[in-house]
Amino acid sequence: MKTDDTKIADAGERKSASAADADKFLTFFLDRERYGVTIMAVSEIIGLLNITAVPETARFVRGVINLRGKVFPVIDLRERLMLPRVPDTAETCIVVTEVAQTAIGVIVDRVSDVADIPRELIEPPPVMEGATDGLLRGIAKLPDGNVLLLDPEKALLGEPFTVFGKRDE
Amino acid sequence: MFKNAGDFAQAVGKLTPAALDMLTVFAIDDALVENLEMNKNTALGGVLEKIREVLPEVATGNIKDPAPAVAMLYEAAAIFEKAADRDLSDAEASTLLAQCALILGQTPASPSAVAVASAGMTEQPPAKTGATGIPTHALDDPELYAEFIFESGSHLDAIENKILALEQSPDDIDIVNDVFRTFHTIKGTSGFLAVSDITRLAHDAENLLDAIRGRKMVFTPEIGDVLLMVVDQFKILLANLEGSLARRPDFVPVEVPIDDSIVRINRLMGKVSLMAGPERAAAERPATDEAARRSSAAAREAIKVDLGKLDSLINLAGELVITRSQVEQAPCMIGIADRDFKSNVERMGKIVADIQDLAMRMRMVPIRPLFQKMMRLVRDLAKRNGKDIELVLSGEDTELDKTVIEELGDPLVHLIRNACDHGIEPSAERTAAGKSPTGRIDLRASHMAGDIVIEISDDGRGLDREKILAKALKSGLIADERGVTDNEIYQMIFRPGFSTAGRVTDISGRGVGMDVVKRNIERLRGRVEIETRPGRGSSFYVKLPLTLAIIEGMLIQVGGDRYVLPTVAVRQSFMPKKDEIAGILGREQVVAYRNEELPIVALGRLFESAGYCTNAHEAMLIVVEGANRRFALLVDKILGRQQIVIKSLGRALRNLASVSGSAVLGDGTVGLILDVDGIRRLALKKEFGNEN
Repeated sequence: MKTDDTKIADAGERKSASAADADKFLTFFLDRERYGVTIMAVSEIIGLLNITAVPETARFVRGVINLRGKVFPVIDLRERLMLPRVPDTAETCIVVTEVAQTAIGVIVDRVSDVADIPRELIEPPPVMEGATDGLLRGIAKLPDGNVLLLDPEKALLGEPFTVFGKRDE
Repeated sequence: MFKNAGDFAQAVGKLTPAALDMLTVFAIDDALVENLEMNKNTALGGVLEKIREVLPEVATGNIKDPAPAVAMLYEAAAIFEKAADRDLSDAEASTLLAQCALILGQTPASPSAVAVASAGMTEQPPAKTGATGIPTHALDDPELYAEFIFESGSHLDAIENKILALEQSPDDIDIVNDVFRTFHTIKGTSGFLAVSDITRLAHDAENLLDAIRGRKMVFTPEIGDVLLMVVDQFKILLANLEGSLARRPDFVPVEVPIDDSIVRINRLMGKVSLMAGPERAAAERPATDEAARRSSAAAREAIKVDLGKLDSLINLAGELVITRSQVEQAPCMIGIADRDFKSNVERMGKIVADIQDLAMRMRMVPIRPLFQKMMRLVRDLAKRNGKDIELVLSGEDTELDKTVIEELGDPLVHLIRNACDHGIEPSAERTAAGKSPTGRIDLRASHMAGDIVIEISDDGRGLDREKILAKALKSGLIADERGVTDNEIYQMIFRPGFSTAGRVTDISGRGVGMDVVKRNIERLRGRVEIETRPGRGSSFYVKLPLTLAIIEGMLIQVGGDRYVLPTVAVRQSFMPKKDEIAGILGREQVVAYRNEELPIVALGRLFESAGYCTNAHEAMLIVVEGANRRFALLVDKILGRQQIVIKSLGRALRNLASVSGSAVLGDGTVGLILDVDGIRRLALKKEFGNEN
């Protein structure tokens, strides 16, 4: 079963996998790994805009941006996944996502492509150390390498953005 | 253009919505009218005249949804075709006329009513009623019914207000006529839609009103009660209809004893001849048409716009303003000598500002409907409490942001309830205290210094300072009364679970509500102030920002960051002299300001900005006030003042204390709007680890 699927992928015929057993993922690079997030959660990809820092926020929150009149937070995914911080480059960009009706910009090192990933190629995620555990939905074993598939809700919204505590109600 | 009605019918029959502009041509074809007049077909002539009113509206695009108009024209065409041989029957003519009136009136019900009327005319079997009393075909065309529910809701509000007005002036036949017509309209539409319970009830209410306007009966409080009961039952019937439309599996329609109302109406009617029935009502129809035309003329000036679209417009207008300033401030602009070009740019700037202003104002609606709802509330509460209470409204035309008005409903109901239940004394007690036996509640809306103030004042017994204080001490809200101001004591009533009511009624008491009032109002960025005099009454002042969407802000700079400080929180700004600043506790500094020593909060240090100015006497101090506490904010520079459009930071960032929202600045980046009291709390937390 598994070999069949690999063959299909090998033959570069990923398209032939029907929509029912393959999902589309936007893939991007962070540090040395390739990550993926379902394109259902992605609205667009933009270059780095001027980000306004916001006080009382967690380290992984870079700040907020204005995109065509809409203001929303931008998070540094490296920081969120406890990866080492690096200076922004020309390829650094913001993946604008919408998770649980909340717009969030996600800074990634470099966007790769949109991949159809057959479900058979997705394996359950390994148990990770500490805070990053549970952020992955699975690992796709593609012929050209592994893609770590993020659970958008947990990875992007799982941790509170603010640190001061709640406003008085 | 047309030799006869048949030609006209044919032409109309060929219309497609895309070719609607052709309709104008038809509208001015006098030959057709002459033709009809020669044939002495007056009903047809009347309809044509009406259609000629509709056509230009359709052609010029004044009617948003031309489909019902086109459907009506098809219908008319079919009838005109037949009319070549015979006279148009009165029934057909009046249905067409009703359709025309609906289209012209642009009432939201129009598409539905027309569609149904057309269906009726092609001799569809009468609608069947399902087990829930809801017509079974309602589920085939839910939109139609949704429109009916929406429309009837506002009709019922109107009826309710008029009945309350009638209770004040029972002899005013104009009001009776108005109520009659409104019931008639509801009856008409519910008849179309086969919502039989509503039709029956409306029919009887109509009869009752007809007897009054025919001076066969006089309006009595009892009639008022019955009519209000009918209104309440309508509301439940509509809710039932809505519930079954939504097809919620758990929906159980509420039993409505409409027969009780019908019996009560008939009993009232029994006192007069029962002959004044629907026949008379039918005879009065021309008057109803006249009213429909008048109201449609008024309605034509307003259209319904989806709020989402409006907000997008506001967003775009905001973007336009930003782009304008980018264009105006572009370095190459300085080098341009062309005066025409420069004046064009300037004019464009003005237009852009006007567009933004207009877009913002489109969200503003008068507070009147909300105020009028309170009339009914006070009436019912007074009756139930056995008190005599008069509610006096003023400033109903004051406009507020639509969202503010929606959110204001609940707090207002609580405050009015409180005034009726606890504020106003029973008549005997009032008389004993030398007051008028009728209690008075004033509900006022007005503008005051950039805020909207809603005042709820009663002339009742006032808040009992000692009782509140005792309760606060007992429940440990305060340790002792020393240093506690009266205002602070009165504000205690807004604490959750705080109530001094000796008696608990089904309406208010137990302190449930006042904390909700405060929370709801604070969510609107407003506040409540209390004034009270023992034995004389209390006033609650709800102070709200004009709109949720725009504020006057002071743009400040700290290090490389810019922030917006709401101007309302700013008392004064100055460059302090060295000797005005004193250091205490090492890092903490205070500044002398009008006989006060105000703590200084260095925004740069608080926010850990890069490269901010650290010396108070080299920078700017801004005296700010929030939640009745003053302090001085140390910033690098004040960049200016401007109107800013508030944008939310989104759900993920809603818990920030020191930042209440954001604004898009002239260069397109985001500036954070500061919350003064939140900054104070954040500073305390950072310096001393506590929050108060």
